[in-house]
Amino acid sequence: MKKHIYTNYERCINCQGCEVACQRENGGLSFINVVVIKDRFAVPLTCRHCDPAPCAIACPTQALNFSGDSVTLEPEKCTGCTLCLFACPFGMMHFNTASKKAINCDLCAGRQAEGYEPACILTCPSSALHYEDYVSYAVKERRRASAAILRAQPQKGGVQ
Amino acid sequence: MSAVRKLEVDTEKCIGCQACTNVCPAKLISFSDGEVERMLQFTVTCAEDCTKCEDACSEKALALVQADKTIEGTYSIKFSLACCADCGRPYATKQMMNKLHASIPALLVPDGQDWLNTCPVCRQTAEAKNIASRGLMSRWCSPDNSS
Amino acid sequence: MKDHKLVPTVCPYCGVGCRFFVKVHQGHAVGLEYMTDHPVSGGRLCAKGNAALEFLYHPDRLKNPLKKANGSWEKIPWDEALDTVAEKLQATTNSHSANSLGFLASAKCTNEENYLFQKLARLSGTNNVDHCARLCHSPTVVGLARAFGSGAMTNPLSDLALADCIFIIGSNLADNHAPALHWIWLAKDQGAKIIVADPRLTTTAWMADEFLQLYPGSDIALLNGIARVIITEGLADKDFIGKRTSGFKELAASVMEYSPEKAASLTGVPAEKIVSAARAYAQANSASFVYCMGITQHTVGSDNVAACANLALLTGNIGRRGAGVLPLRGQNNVQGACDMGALPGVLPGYQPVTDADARARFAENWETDNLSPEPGLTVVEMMKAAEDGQIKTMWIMGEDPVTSDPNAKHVHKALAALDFLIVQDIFLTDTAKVADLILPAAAWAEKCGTFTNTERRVQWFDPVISPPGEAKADLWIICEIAKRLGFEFGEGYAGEVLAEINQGVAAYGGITCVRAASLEGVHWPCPSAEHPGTPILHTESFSTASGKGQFIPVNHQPAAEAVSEDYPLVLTTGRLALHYNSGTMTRRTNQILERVPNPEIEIHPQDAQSQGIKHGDTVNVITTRGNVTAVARVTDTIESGVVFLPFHFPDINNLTIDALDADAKIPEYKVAACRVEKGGPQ
Repeated sequence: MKKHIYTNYERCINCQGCEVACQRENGGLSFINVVVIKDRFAVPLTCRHCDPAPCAIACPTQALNFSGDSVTLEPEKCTGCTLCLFACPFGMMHFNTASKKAINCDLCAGRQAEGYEPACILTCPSSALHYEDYVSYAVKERRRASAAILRAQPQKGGVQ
Repeated sequence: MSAVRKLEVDTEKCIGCQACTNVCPAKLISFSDGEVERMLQFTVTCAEDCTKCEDACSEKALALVQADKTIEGTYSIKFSLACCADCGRPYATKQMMNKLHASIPALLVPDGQDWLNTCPVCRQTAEAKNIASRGLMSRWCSPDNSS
Repeated sequence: MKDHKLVPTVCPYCGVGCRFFVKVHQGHAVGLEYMTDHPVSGGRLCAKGNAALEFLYHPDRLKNPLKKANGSWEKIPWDEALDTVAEKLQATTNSHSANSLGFLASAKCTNEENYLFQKLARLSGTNNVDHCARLCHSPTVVGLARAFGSGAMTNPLSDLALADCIFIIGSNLADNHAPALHWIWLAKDQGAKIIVADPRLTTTAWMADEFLQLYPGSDIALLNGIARVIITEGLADKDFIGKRTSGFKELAASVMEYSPEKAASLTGVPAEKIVSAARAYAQANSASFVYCMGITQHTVGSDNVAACANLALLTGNIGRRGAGVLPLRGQNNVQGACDMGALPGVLPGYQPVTDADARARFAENWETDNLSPEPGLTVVEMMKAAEDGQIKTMWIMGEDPVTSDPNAKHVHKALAALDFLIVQDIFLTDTAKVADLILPAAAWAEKCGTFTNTERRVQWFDPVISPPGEAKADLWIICEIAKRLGFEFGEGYAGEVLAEINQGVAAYGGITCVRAASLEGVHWPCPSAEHPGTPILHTESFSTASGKGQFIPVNHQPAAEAVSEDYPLVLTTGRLALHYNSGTMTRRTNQILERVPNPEIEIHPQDAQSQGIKHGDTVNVITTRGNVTAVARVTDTIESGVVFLPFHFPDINNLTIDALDADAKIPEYKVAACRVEKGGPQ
């Protein structure tokens, strides 16, 4: 099944370890960005590898395509027109000013080819970032949520 | 026969995306963004032998036309920059945004949430606020902290 | 890049002691990989650890011994540098006394290095050896030693996952010990209640079920208030108190005046919150108590620690899984530096220098009769003694007191007043700039040895790359100087030194290189080769003379410096997630600097408005001791009347006060009186 980056937003603590890791793995550009709201909530944002992907729809050269599990970018086809940057609903496409081309999270394709998970996933000190398929993550979250509900209702014979 | 060509831009078709500025090996095309305007500057003629700028143009707005001789000088085209509905800062040319409005399916741009009118940074903030509001808003916010 | 090798190491930054692999290609550290089966971190790594390789290659790395000549630095050969150090140490002893020497060891250096460094000082006849633990957990060493007999963290970090309640006070572990959070989330998934007490709404408070925003310096009032609720509501563990503690009656009497209302008036925390926090901690099956600098860095730091220990003893939350007292040690090897005796009052293994038997044992092992029975001076006292001319020569290894000591302008004066200052470091810190002689040291990745993390877990690491230029491992430097002083320390093989430590420090008795190099390392006490190590302390009895835990009555006292009309705001200092301590390493790391380039002062919107200050304005922060420029960060996560500055930048400690805890001699970094004005550099 297709694997996604799923985030347990309650756990993000704005340590920016994911940003620093991603930046290191990608020659100086980070494709994950933690946005802090009201000094109280930190939200790590990444490319969502949407399907359908507005960035791929906007791309005039088909450099961006949804294939396999993710939106992939073929740099040879990219002209740096930046349409994809403005087509992303989440503002999560990036521009490499050195190569003058669009560039983005590829779920650490290079690392995965060597058998490693994406860097942000492994590094998150708070275990907020998860890389798994929808069913497996949903099951985890549902279990967690239902355990909390049951704990809150001891009279009904729930788990303490 | 001279190898010089004129850079001819169809200003009706050009959307000011500046892809052509990225690819010219001789840096004959450049752009600069002001507070409300983007200016693309082209040399009148080109003595290179590639068609990179023509090829890069998604709108087929740029044509390399045979010229008799080199003509010195540049010309520029101006584009109105769209300004972000949230922060007011300019982000892309209006023509680029028109093209995106036309090509991105309505399905992905729900009514009342026209994210296309905001800049990428504000889109990140909006998404973060959206996520934060889903259950995290109880996190030690005093009563007057509701915005 | 498949042609690299992965070399395991231990992170050089904080006390969590995460391990990771460094990718090495042709002798160059080119990247890192996560060690996902490490028992503490599970591969997790904060931003600092992720960026740890960058500073190794910074152009400012010290590469040659340097002598100060005519206001500038002259490169000199090692022989000359080492000869000079030995000469100066000997000359000072001869013309004054051994106590005119001052040694600052390093919580960043290895156990082997700290062990030999304090040995050299002691063989020279002085106990004037101390290090930065003085400035952070010295009250823990004093306070927990009184209460439990041992000043160390009682349970491993992973035990937090087994707690039903985690009480966190004066600790921002989400920022500063981030990989430990994993265990807290596991606890929360099982329904654990998290209570956080802090003057600031820190990221740690984000995960709290109860947040107690107390006024800086009112910790005893809060903790005594909680103790009183526990006692009066019958929530104390009478069985445990009866069997395993002494002094309950006195403790109970001492907390009676701290009614919830009185505690509320002293702390600013509503009475109902104090009561509900008390109930949550006391009613849990297993509760863990986590504390850090917010408790220790006060003139009543040792008393604060005692108040924490009292709660654990009152509720029997000590000596078993999920229940313990966790003072989170900051530096990668501050626990080890303390264990190795880099402290003025104790020999290795915490044996008092005043104990004749202990001295005799070491005198025999070390083949000396020069061990002094007089406790030496602590860090801040050494600076005062230097200013007064009592200390003439100092050797500072891997510390930057000009940046990290309180009332720092005096520190600068003090060091400048010395006859001779030797500084051994990896960069030209603000302290090194005042030196007469600089010894270029290898960084952690360029040498081997052991670090002891906050859980008392000893971990061995091998060198990853070679040091730059002429820089050398601190161990080699110490051995070479020792040689010139007539001491036989060996050639600087860390394994040999560890073997000597096995002999001299009972708790490290069975901790060999091989065992320490394993994935889990070894928790001390580990008295012998067969002993498995001791993850949890005080399971059967305490290490006090009686074997019982000691209740220690303590009372609220105001901080040394009160606010006034001229200085109406309480300045509290602390840390940020991205930077580390004095910034020697993180301020030479672009990935960190681009995110946090400058110090920002957290100020409440009301306080900002009254001074016409807006978010992002340049401001001056002024105390009676100094004036520092910062950028205003207007936020409601701090209360009106309190401001916060991170100390990772130069000159911040010009503002802090050098008022000390009477027993632990720790400065009151957490409370000073200041004013904030709109402005900029004068």
